[in-house]
Amino acid sequence: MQRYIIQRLILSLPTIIGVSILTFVGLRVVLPQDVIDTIVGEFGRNDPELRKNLEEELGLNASIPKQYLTYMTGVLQGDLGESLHNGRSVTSELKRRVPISVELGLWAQLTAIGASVPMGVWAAVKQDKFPDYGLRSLAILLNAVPGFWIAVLVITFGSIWFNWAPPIKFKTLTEDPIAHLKIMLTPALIIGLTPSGGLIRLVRTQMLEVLRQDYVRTAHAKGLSSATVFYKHALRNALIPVVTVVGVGLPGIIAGTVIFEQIFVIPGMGRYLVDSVNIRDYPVIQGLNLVFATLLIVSVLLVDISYSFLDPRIRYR
Amino acid sequence: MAVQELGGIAEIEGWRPERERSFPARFVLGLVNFARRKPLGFTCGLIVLALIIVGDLVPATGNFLYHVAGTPFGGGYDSVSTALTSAEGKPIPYVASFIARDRYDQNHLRERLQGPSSKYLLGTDELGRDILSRLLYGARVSIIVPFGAVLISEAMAASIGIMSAYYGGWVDKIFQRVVDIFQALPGLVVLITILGIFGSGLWQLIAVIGVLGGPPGSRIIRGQVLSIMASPYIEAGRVIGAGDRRIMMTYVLPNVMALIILGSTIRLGGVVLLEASLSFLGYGLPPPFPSWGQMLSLQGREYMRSAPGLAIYPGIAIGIVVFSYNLLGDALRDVLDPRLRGSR
Repeated sequence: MQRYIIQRLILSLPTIIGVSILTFVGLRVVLPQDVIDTIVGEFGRNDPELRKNLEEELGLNASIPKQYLTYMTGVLQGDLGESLHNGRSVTSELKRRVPISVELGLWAQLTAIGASVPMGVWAAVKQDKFPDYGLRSLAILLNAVPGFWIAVLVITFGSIWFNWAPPIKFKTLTEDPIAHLKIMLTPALIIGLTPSGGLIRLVRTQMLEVLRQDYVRTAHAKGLSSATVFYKHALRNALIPVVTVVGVGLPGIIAGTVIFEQIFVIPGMGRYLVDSVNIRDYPVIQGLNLVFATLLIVSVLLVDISYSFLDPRIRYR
Repeated sequence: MAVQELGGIAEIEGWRPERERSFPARFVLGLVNFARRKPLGFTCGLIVLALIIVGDLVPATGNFLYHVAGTPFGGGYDSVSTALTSAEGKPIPYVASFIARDRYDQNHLRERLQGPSSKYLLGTDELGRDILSRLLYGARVSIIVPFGAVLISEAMAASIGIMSAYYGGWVDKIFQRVVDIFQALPGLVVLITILGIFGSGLWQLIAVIGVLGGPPGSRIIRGQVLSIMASPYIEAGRVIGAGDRRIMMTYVLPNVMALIILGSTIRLGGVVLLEASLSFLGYGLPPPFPSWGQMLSLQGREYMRSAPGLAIYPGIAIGIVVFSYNLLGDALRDVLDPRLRGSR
């Protein structure tokens, strides 16, 4: 078990390094406009002295590999650079914003699993009856409809019918837990809807597969109530492959948080990304891309490791 | 000698070898068979076909080729990029411009935010533009972007997958690490970054979405090619002296073609959703050209209160397109890939 985890950790290192090189090259080398020009603006464009000073200050006169090494040394020490726009440290800004986005993503994931597992089980138990057809249609529908459209509908018709609007002022969990959860609730529910389409279908097929097994028949035959059979014997085994799909759905959840932070005005990483892309704040964008990718890699890793906990067969591969 | 004798016997018995059916006949028969086995998938295929016609994929491709052929030295770059977004003066006329009541940017400022009427079937938006016309023109983005992007990503996936599995060794290792990196990229974040910094447009959308989707899709093709490489006909090909390229192109590629087609149909719906999200966030085609995601975007939120149709119709359009792509993909998968049959 330990060996498996260490192996996976070592394998994910080159990926993270590769991503860091990619973001570095993408945002330092192949830029459409010069960083210095962005900083000095129209007035200082023809001032070579200013340009030289700035280049030295930002370390841009070194060779590209050396710049990369300097950058990575900083990253490893927890320093992602400073914003070109307001000079704030990217790291301290991220410290505030990462927990918010991660929390939103976790709530969304919980919604997806919490909604789709019971529905999938119900569809499997009532195979080829009305609930099954209804839930399968729902799953296909959820797969086809973009999450942000549901959000737009909720906001529009919420305001028309109930005079409801999503709260605008953000409160952190420590400030005001109830207001905080109120803000998080709607976006988390809607982000969770999109992946649950696929999850319902998967839980259903897995359940059907497991329900055909001999040990389920045995459990029925020895007189256990069907609830015990379904939830204790069948569901546990049916859920194992579902974990992998949770891993596959993670990029979707991240994309969901980025979009929904715009709609519901939540000051997380996604909002930071869009704001800084719009004002071309390159160090922030670079740091954010790196952090997003690392988060994705780490969470996929966690999912895989938990999979190997659940299914001992995986470890011996 | 023996064959002639056999022929003689067959003639005596009145037996004739069954004539091979012509290609169109086989094609039609296959379609009928598909319609009978998967009625829902077939219907969705028809919807996709209708959208391809309304979305002007055929004239757009034709015009694109015409422009490329007409201006081989880059002089007409501008006209190439406008080939898809403008509707007039093109050698092949666009369908949407015939069906739609207005052009997509034609506004009637006296008739803003109207409800459905016989003049404007789905009402008008905040600038008095006919919503139905805008939806029809918007179909172009939801057809051309997914087909273009999937073409790019499947071409990449196929070449990476085949080369990786064929050469093996360090080529395989390097390709797999690159694929790992691409798989670790959070798609939408990277797209926002690239399109936000380098500017967005039809070609940028197609290229970036396509390239990002390519390497991750190569995994499944690589697996298939690995099993193909073990089969005897590859060895036979080697023995008769076929080179690397010949083996890859004529022995391996046709055998993974079904997988490539499946991969692309399954991916189409996802690309539509991705494009819609990007347009929704403001990184899609620049206005006034309509895209369904952009029609739902936040700028129009205050108008949606007074004209809820603005919030409803584009979403339904996206839903129908993605639904059709998904179900067509599922049906094709069930028909083409016997291993996955019934695994829905």
